[in-house]
Amino acid sequence: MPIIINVDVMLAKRKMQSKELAEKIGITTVNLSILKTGKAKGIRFDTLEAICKVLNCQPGDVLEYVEEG
Amino acid sequence: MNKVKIISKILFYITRVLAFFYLGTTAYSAFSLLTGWSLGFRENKKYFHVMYPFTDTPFLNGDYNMPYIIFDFLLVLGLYGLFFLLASNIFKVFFQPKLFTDFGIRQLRYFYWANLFLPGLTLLFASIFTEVDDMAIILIILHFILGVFAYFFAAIFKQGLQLQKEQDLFI
Repeated sequence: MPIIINVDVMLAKRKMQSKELAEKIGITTVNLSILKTGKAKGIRFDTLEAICKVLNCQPGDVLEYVEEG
Repeated sequence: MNKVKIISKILFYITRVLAFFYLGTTAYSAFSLLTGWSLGFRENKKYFHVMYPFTDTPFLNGDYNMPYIIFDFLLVLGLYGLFFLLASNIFKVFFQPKLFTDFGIRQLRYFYWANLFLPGLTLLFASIFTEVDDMAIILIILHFILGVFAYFFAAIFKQGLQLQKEQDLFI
């Protein structure tokens, strides 16, 4: 999929663990893992909003468009 | 959906009780006919009575000949026990936390296979040994129609499960 999820990058920048983020945004670690590994079909606005709020970032910091070769 | 859950739970308990009653009665009747315990006769063993346990009060009556006992008595009781058991499993599906599950599809599959083919095959087999009445044919048609509906329900549930799995991937 040409949309890349950069949650891992932001987590590293904020020195936060996946488990802590999952707890703060109210999703399971399994679902966060699905999101991080690009297996998710989509992301809800409220999930994106919660991620941006907790990681103090913009949607563009978490989502990236990469053209497929 | 809450109303559906309440109704399905009530129907689950009713059909489950009926299933155990029919299966229990089948086992009890078979035991009684095999051992002669709690069994009575009339008209020179032309007819039999299966009595209520430990009483002389007739519970079930029938013709005392092997084809009748097997095909018109024990098999009918046993198959209706199975029918109510499968029906109760269908009702169970409707009060689970998730409606579309592999369990639900499996139960619907058992139900439609049993309704589509079991009565017809049983009647076909029984017709070799005993006379078949019109009522039995009507019942088979009704079970077949029920089986067709259950088949379409299973198709809806399959599609529902697929959509649910996709929905689960929206985080």
